[in-house]
This record gives sequence, structure tokens and C-alpha cells, in this order.
Amino acid sequence: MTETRVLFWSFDSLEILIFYGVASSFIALFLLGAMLRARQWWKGAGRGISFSAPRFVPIIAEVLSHRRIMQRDRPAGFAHLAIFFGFLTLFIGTTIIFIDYDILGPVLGRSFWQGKFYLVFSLCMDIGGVLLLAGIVYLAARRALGGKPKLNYAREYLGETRVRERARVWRTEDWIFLGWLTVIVLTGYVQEALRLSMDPAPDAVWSPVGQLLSRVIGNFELQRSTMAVIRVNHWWFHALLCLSFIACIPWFKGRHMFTGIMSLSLRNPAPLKRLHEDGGESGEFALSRAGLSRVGELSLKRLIQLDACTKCGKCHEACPARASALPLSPRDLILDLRDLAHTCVPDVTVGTAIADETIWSCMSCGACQEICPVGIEHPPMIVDLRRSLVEAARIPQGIQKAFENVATTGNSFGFPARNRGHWSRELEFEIKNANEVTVDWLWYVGDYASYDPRNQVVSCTVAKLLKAANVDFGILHQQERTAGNDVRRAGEEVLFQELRKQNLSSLSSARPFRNIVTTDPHTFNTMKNEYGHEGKTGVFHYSSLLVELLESGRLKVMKPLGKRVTLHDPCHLGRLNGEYDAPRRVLAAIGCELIEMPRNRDNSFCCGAGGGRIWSQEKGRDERPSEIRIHEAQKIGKIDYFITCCPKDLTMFEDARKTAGAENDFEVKDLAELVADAVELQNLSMPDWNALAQKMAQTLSRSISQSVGEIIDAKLNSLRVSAEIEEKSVKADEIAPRQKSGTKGENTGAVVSGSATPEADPKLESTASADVNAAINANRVDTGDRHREAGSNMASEWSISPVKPAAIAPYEFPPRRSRKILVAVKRVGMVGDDLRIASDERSIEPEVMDWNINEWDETGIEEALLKAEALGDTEVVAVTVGPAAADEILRKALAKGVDRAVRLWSDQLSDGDPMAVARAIAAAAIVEQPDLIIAGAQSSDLGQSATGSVLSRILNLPLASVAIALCWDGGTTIDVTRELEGGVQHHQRLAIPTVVTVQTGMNTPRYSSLRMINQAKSKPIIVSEVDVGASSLVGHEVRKMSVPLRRRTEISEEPVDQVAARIVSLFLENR
Amino acid sequence: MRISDVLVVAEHMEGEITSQSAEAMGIGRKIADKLGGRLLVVVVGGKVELAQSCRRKGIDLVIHAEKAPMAFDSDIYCDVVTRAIHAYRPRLVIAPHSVDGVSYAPCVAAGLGAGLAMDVVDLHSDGRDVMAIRSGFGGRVAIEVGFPGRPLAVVTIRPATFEAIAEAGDAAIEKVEWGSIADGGRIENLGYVALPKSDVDISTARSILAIGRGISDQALVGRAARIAQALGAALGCSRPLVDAGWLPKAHQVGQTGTVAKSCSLYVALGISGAVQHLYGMKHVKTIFAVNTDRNAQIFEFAWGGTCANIDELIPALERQLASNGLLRLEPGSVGDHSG
Repeated sequence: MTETRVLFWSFDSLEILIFYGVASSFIALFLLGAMLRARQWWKGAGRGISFSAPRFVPIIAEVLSHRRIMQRDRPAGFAHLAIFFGFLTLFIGTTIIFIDYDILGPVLGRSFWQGKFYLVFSLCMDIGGVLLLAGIVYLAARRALGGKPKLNYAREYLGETRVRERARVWRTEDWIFLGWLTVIVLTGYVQEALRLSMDPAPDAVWSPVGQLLSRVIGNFELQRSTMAVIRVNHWWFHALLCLSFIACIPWFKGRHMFTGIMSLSLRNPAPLKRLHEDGGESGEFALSRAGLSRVGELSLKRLIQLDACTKCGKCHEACPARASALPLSPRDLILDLRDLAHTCVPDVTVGTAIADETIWSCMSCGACQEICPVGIEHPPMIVDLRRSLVEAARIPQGIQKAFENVATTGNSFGFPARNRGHWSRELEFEIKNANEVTVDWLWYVGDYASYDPRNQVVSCTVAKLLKAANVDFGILHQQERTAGNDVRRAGEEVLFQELRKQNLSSLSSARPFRNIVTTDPHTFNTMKNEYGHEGKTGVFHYSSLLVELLESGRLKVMKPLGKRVTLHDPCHLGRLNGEYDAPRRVLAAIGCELIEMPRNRDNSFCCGAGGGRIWSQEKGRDERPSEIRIHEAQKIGKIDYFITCCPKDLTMFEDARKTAGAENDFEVKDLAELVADAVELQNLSMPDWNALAQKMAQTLSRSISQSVGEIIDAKLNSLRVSAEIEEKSVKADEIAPRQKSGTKGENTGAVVSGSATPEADPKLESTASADVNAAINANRVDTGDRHREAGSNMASEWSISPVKPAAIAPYEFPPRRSRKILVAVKRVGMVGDDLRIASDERSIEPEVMDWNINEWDETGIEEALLKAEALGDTEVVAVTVGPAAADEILRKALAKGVDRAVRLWSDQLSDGDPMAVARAIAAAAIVEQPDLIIAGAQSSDLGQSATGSVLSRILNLPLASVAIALCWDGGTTIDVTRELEGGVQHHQRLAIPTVVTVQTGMNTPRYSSLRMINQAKSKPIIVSEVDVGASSLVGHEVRKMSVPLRRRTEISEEPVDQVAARIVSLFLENR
Repeated sequence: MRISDVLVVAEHMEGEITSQSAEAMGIGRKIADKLGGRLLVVVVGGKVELAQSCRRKGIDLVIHAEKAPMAFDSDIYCDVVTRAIHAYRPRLVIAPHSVDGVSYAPCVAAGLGAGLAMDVVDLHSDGRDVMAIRSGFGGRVAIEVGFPGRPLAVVTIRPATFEAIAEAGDAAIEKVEWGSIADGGRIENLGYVALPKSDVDISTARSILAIGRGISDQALVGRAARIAQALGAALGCSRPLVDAGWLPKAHQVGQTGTVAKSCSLYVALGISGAVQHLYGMKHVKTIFAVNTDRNAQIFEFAWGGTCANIDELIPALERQLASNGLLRLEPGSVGDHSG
């Protein structure tokens, strides 16, 4: 007799048939479930899936090795490994029986499931069951005993103390999963034991667990017939447990057996370091719209990834946002998204389940996706969500400001672009300008290293090191803009694309260079991975360059430092780009003892600055990530320095060292600063005397010429002013009569009207002159003879010529809606510290100006849009007076939602004089016939605060100035709250049409994303030529502009603690 | 006869001539002297006492439109001042660069085709012509302007820049009938509402710790408040913080906030020094400014200053106060959780 066992013991053919029927239907249920899942995924595919062919070897290796499951939790890893192999063994075993009994048997009439093979098979199955059981028992015990925060579904980071309803379902699911598997294994053993008890076999030793159990059963001394009944029924019980488990797989946690592997197969090899293009990369996006805002926009890959989540909590544990109790846990985000996805309603918006704050809390450090055992890519998903928020202008203030700054000045601080290279002025040598000369190394400095005072010190140190090592390097000065790594991760994709385009063009128009080196890991990441010049130009982080310089001896260590230090791996250098060794080799080369923090290398804990968070550092309910990290460093014991090699890290940790109370424990230093100490940089001579001498001579001559010039100017002016006045007053007499002749009743202004103005009776016209005449008449009645007499006496010198609208060329516009709001906007100039007056002494050198939309007018636009949105059927028209370059601000206005934009200009016009500007705008107002005209209360450059008022006078409309609230129901009056001195509020009611000037702060102007600005490019801007005519009336004539010699206090540079001490003592003395 | 008179518009609030109007009279007298003309003052609305309080030293005539309403109405101010100009033909009209001044002064100029310069920081005359100095680009540029060919110029003057006239004089008062409400029917006055009472009073505080746009995080505002309390100072701020809703209006120092009248120590953290803010504090004896921008205008008015980041300074102040035993450091997070 060969060793085997009977499969359907005591079954007659009907019973066997029933079993096959039952089994088939359960498997059909499984297939149905799988199909339904797949169908939903497939809907997400829609627009084609072209994920690259899965790399099978790494995936199989990942699955078999359990690398990520093992990471940072070995016991759980081994337990899962046991379950995995136990389950696999049992599954393979069952498959073998199926093949032998149902395929080979009927076809060949033979069976291989016997003899030695059968015995080994039995043993394997018993061992598999034990493994499975052991793993489950361990994990279940861990779960039951608690203590693992990552397995707790209470959202403590939100302040939740109890597990919410939904999460209780998850918890039940977890237990059912574990319990079900346990019962399946146990009943399997019992079945085996029952068989062995009834049919004792000499080879039972090959089924050790079954044999053991059969002895236990033997103790019960059951009747053979009873045992037979139990055996048959228990067989059915076990079979149904197994079959129903299979049927349920698509519907619960068990599905990760499939989805996990699928998700791993679909994983992008560089998900965060190289983000997908907006609406682009196939498989990532379902629709061409920006980002991810609705369930229907989840792609196939995302849906599979959501279904792969096992709630293991590894991402939850790793996330720095969660750790500082910001409202984000990657685990809960994925689970909430999955719940949304399972609603299968394409129009359900993400916002119904996920708060904006959650989406903005991410620091793009990549810790979650790095540790995820099933390959979920959380950060790219979050970037998608952010893209849609950017589109909807739901952006935290700080980030919005940074976007605006980057768009206008190329840096997130909003400092003038021209000042980008100014940090290098502190050096005693001149850094080559890579735009002008060829260099080996193009140093892409980055925002923080260029503008932040603490990092500027580091930049100077790096420059000196490179100089000392005789490295041929240069910088791009203002041709460099921020590389856009964080802009992109914060979701402003179009702005990023624009930055990339501009920077690539700067790089290609620079003189030839060999490699790019950067001090900023964020810049390093995006330049290396997202600029599309991979392979052509090498991009290096300065730590790699320092290693080379130190190890090749170009930088000689004079004094090994012998310091105990710890190193913080920047996320963008380490985790994203795998560079862990360069900074460590530098530290070794300069003789520092590196004490690692518990979390290092791929497990490095983010400083909290990434993903745009540095621009919007709302605090979580707990300590900041940087403070948590500083405590981690404190715990490793006596160290001298906490080393960073990222400007943002330096900024964050310098701050956190103080707030976390580690000031007496260690200093925060940049890697380069230690290298400088070790090579005794201060003793190395490096100035090129030529350049230095030149610079000194220049400075000297400039200051001499300036002071001499001022003296001469002053002398000349005192002479010239009097001469000029003589001349002008003569002219005045000539002009006066002519002006007078062109006045009465004659409406020279805006003779043109829009071709589509249906208004039969225009409300606005130039009535100022008539009004004034009325005033004169009234005056004659009111006041006595004396005045009349005085008037006649002065007729020769006095002239009344009210300011009238300019004439503008006609233009067409759509038919009038119920209401129309006209918003006056101005392009304002901003100056930096390189401010220069032009040679005509009446204007500022245009190349030192940066331009932007006036802040007050932005408030005006927002107010107009808010009113239009509330009232409906209201057209908002923006009008500006300026040259073609002013189109830029109109585009911004259009992007925000303004319906039309009009630009008025003539080369003879001044855009800085309120009279001239108001005349032109008045002409447009007469064409447009608006109900409400909104102007900013002032402009940020010249600050006259007059345009709106002059406009009201020219149009003879009522005026409310400096409004902080407008209340208009679209009717014939508008209620205005003005803000007066001392915060007093003045409430007025004005008749429509009216002019209102607005104060900032009455609303928060919405963000116009670069995509919207680009889209607004297709909206036409109406340009109309202004005919200034004979009376080119301005309010005043600019005679001279100068930079006043400013008395200013001495501005000290001292450590903040000294400043704090000074301030405190000032207050104590003043008590 | 030469046109050489100067007309000053005296504004009033709560029945009193504003300090800015007194400053306009001060510079008005100087220019009138240069031009060899009279100094006329026009008051729109108000009781006899109000007109009487305008009879200050150096003023030749007070024109009182007593029928005009007390409440400000841009139309009425414009009308009365325009009529006064027609009646008296001055060379120069000076109004305060106040919230009301920016409303009617440009209207007056536009209606008459007069020269116009706003927010003037200095005025000169050589006896014939008037020149004004304006300030642009946050005080970075001085702009000298003239009004060639204009028999009349209208200027508004920057508050707290010129010397005021306080002493009484003996000017005549001429009552005029202009500006009755019937003429100003387009604007209805719905009333004035004063700043609600608050536990902070900038106007009586002796020392003020003020914060501005340089503060990046709302949570730091709460921490700054604790610091101010520990220092025995009032917490002041500049407009943007009120606009952002981070602090109530009562904390705002400046033209549309509160003037720090009794203050002798003012520490400005992250405040660049917009004119409106300077108005409320530039008179303070000891001003200490902290800002990251070395070009910030505030440094021109400060007694001492330093270049530092406010986000870093606030924790440093907490540590300093903690070491003095004036403040208890809360572990890790200090302040509110409103982030």
C-alpha cells in the first residue's frame, strides 16, 4: 500500500457533486468580486495605462524578502514572513491536490500524490500551518496588548481620544482577518487528527501536528460512528471556511495578497524625486484638469494603490506631520481616500472627506512612500490634491505669498531678483559671473543660500573653500531663479514649468560650463531629476564636491577637528537621491566622530521645511518636527555639533535648537563651516589683489563723486530754481487764456462710445465744468460785492478749466449685463537697495525696478469679484493706464476672474500722475457706463491717494474714500464703511453710480495660479490709444528725483540672544 | 493785485479741530509769509466754538460754513472749499492728508484744473511759486514737484510732519451760507462708530512692544503677547496683522489705529515703517527697531536698531525673560494652538 489519503472520505457521488457545486459557486463569487473591483479600477484607467513593464525580479525579491515589512519592525516582519510562507505552502499544497485529483487523475488515470512525495507533502503542510499560526498568534497578541501607536486608529494627532465609528469597522475587519485564518488552520489540523484517529497510519509521524491532536482525540474515547459523523460535518465546516475566505478576498483586507503585489508592480521608480507632469503622465491622471479633486479623477494606479493598503501604520509612524500633530497621517489619508473611491460616485469631491489643512500639512519628505510595504505613493497623490487646491485658490497665506513672490521676483522671499548675488559682496574676491566667462563648475546657489542671512554666511564659506581649492567656479547672479522644487511640491505646477523653462534658458545662454554644483538639496533634486538634462550635465551636491576636494588633497586638513558630531540627512539628498555617504566621508576626512541619531539615512526625520511648509509654518498641536529632531540629537548624549548640509535645514534647526532648549548642548553648523575650520581657511590667502584694488578704487571714486556732485547740485539748484520760476510764470500767463477758451459747455471728453452700449441715456458724462459754473453763479449770489470785485480784478490771472476726460479710441465689448463694476488697477514699481535715479533726474532707472500689481487694487479686484459673485449677472471690467508691460497685471486680474480688461495708453501720458490717469480712466468709464467704480485707496509706489477722487470729480459721481466694507444689494444705493483716523468707522450711503476707493484688509485677494494666468492669455486685453489732446493736464510736474541722504540709526548685527537681552533691559529701564 | 493768499482747510472730529489741521495752519503761515499773502482758514460745519478755536496766531481770516453738516460729506467739503477759492482766490490750498482730505482735496483740484500734490512732506516758496517735496517708494525717493502754469495749487500735507499752531490769535470770522445739506444729497450720513473699548490702550501705554509683517506665524503673536505682558508693555502692531485677523484693531498703532501718545519706549519688531504706522509712533523718544531689511524706513526714525529675524527673536526674548524669572517657559510649544 502506497502512502496517500482519501479525498472525499465516505462521500457518495451526489455529495461530491454538491461539493463541486458549492466550491465552484464560491470561486465564482471571488471572481465576481475581483471583476467588480477591476471594473472600478478600469474606469480610472480610461485614458490609457502605459505604466512601464513591471520589473519582475525586484518585485519578487521585495515580496520574498519582506524588506520593507522587516524595516524598523523586525519581529512583525518575521511574523508576516511566517504567515506569508505558511499561507503560500498551504495554497501550493491545495493547488497540488487540485492538479493531481482534478486534472491528472481524470486525464491520465494516475496520481502522483502518494508515496514519498505524499509524506513530504504532509510534513510541509503541517509546518506551513504551524508557521501561519505562529505568525498570527504573535501579531494578534501584539495587537491585543496594544502599545503600538501605529496600530491605533484613534487620530491622536487631531486630538481624538476615542476611535471613530469608521475606524472601529477597520478594527473589526483586522480581527476577523486574523481570526478567520486561525480557525482555518486549526480546523485543518482537527480534520487531519480525526482522519488519523479513525484510520491510524504507520506514517502519521509525517503529520506531526495531526498525530499529536489525534492522541488528544483518542482520550475522548468516542464511538467510531460518532467520530464518523463529526469527521464528515467538520470536513464541510473546514471546507466552507476556506471557500468563503476565498470568496471574500476582494471585499476585505485579504485582497492585499493581490493588490499589494499589483501596487508594487505599478510603482513609479522615482515617484517623488521626479514628479509627474500636470495632467500629463499617462496612468497618473484620469482627466486633463489640474490635480485631483473628485473621485472620478482617481487613476487606475491610484485606485489599486488605495486598495492595497493594509493599514500597517508604517507611514503613520514615519510621518513628521503626524509626529508634530499636524492634521495629517498618510495612513488615514489613504484610508479616507479609499472610502471615497469605494463610493464609486465620480462627482464626489475629495473635500467632503479630506480637509484642506490635511493636504497642506505634507512636507514632501517621502518617508511614507519609502517605508510603504505595498508601494503606495502618498506624496505624489498629495501633490495632485494640492494642484487642485491651487487651481481653486485654496492656499495657505504664506504659500500664496511665496508663489506670488516667485512669480514676480524669482525667489520666495520677494527680494529683488537683482540682489541674488549680493551675498558675494562680502567676499574679498569676486566670484566669476558664469554669464560672462567659462567656468568648470556652475554654482546654482538657490533661494535660501542667496538671501537668508544665516545661510549667506555659509555661502561665503563655501565660496572661500572653492577658491582655496582652486576650483574654477561661477554663479549666474540674477539669471538664476529658484529651481522650483518646492513650488512644484506645493502644487503650483505651471509656475514650476515656467521656472524650469526660464532656468534652462539661463543655463543654456550662460557661457559653457562642465558641471552644476548646488548647496541646496532641493535644487539638487529638481535639477538632477526634473530638468530633463539628466546625463548631459552632471548635477552635484556640494558635499560630493567637498569629498573630492578633501580626498584628493586639494583641500588639506590642517587640524583634524576631533569633534563629536551628529548628522541630519536632508530628505532630498538622502531618501530621495540615495546620497548618504558624501557628508559622512567629509566628516571622516576632517576628523570628526560621527554619532548617528537613531533615525538616520533612509529613516532620517524631516526638519519640516519641505513641500512648501517653510513658507507656511502653522504649528501642529505638538512640537515641530525640527524640535523633535533636536530632542533626538540631545538624547544621544554629548555632541559638539549638529551638522546639516541643506540651507533649509540650517534655518529650521538653528531656530529649533533655541526653541527646544538645546542651546547649551550643541551648535548647529553647516558641513562647509566645519570643513573651513579643519582646513584653517582663515589662514589661507585667496584674494586676487587686482580685483580687490579695483573694487576699492571704484568705491572710493564713487563716494567722492557723489558727495562732490551733491554739493555742486545744491549750488546749481539754488540758482536754477529761481531762474526757472521766472520763466514758468511767464508761460503761465500765456497758457491761461488759451485754457479758458476751450471750456464752456464743450464736452471734448470721450466722444466715443462703445458700439454695443445699449444704454439709451448714459448716466456718466463730464459735467464738472457745468458744475463749477453753477458754483460760480451760486458764489455770486451768496457772497457780497467784495468777492465779485475781487473776481473781476483777477480775471487776467485766474482761469477755470476743470479737468475733463481724455479722448480714447473706440472699442467693442459685449452687451451689458444687469450690473457692471469697473476696477481701476495700477502697475506699481518696487525698488531694491540698488536704487538709481536716471540721468534726467526725474525718474528711476527702469532696470532697477521690479513691477507688480498694486496691493490696494488687488483688494479692489477681489471686492468687485465678491460683489459680482454674490449678485450674479454682473460684469467686472479692469482698466489700467500704462504701457504694454502693464498687460501683465491685467492678465493677473483676468486670471482671478475679471471678465474683461482694458488698457489705455499714450506715449505722451504719465502713469504716475493721478490727474492724467484719472482723465484716461474717466474716458473708459463714459464708454463703459459702470454702476460702481472701485479704485485702490492709494498706490504702493507713489502713494498719492488721488486717482479715485479725481475720477469721481471728472465724472461728477459721489465718492466714498478709504472704504473697509461695501454693502450693495445691486440696487440704487450702496452702503460704505470708511475707516478714519484712530480706527473710527464712518458709515455712508451713496447713490449708484458711484466711486469707492478701498483699503487693504477688507478681503483676502484670491490667488491666480500661473495656469490661470496662462489661460487668461487667451482672453483679449482691449488696448485703446489715449488722445491727450491739447490740454495734457497733469497735477504737477516732477522737477527732480533724488535719493535723500537718510539719517538712519546704526543697524547692528548681533546674535539674537544679545538683541533680546538689549530689548529686555530697555523695557526694564523704562518701567 | 497779486494772488498770494493761502487757504487752509481745517478738519474736525468730535467737535475739535484735528491736530493735522493745526499742522496745515503752521506750514500755511510760513508759505503765506513767503508769498506775502494772508492765511485763510475754512471750516466746514460745526458750531461757533469750532470756528473760534481756529482763531489761532497768524491766521488772518476764518471762513465758517456753519450751515454745513457736522458729518463729513465729500461733496459738501468739495463744494465749500471750491466756493471759498472762488471767493478769495488763494494761491495755495493746504489740506491735511487725512482720510477725509484724500477724499475732497483731489476733487477740488480737478474741478478747478488746479495743480495737485498729495502727501507732501515739505513745502517751499520763493515768493512767487510754490514747490512741494513728496516722498515715494516707501520713503526711498524724494520727489520735488512744481505747478508750472497754475495759478492755484492744492496740496495735502503728511500728518505729524509740520509744526502746528496752537496759540490763540485774533482772526476775524466770516460766516458763509455754503454747503447746506440740500446741496449734498448724493451722500447720506449713517453715523460714526468709535473703536470698541479694549483691554489694551495704546494711547496711554508708556512702553509698547509692536509687531508687524515680519512675523510669519500666527502662533508667534500669542507668544509676543505673553512677552509684552512680562515686560509690562502694551502689545502694538502694524496694519497687516489686523488685516490678517491676527490681532484686534485696538492693537494697531498708526493713522487709522491709535497714536502712541504717552509712549516713551517703542520696540518695533518686523515693522518696515509705512508712513501710516510712523504717524502713530515716530514721536516716541526711544524707538528700537528690529527688521531683516536694512533699508526699512523704520530705521530712519529709530534710536537704535538691529538686523534680525523676528521668528528667531521671539524665542530668544522668551529665553531671556525666563532667565530673568519674568516668564515661565512652557515646554516646547508656547502660546495658542490656532495654527
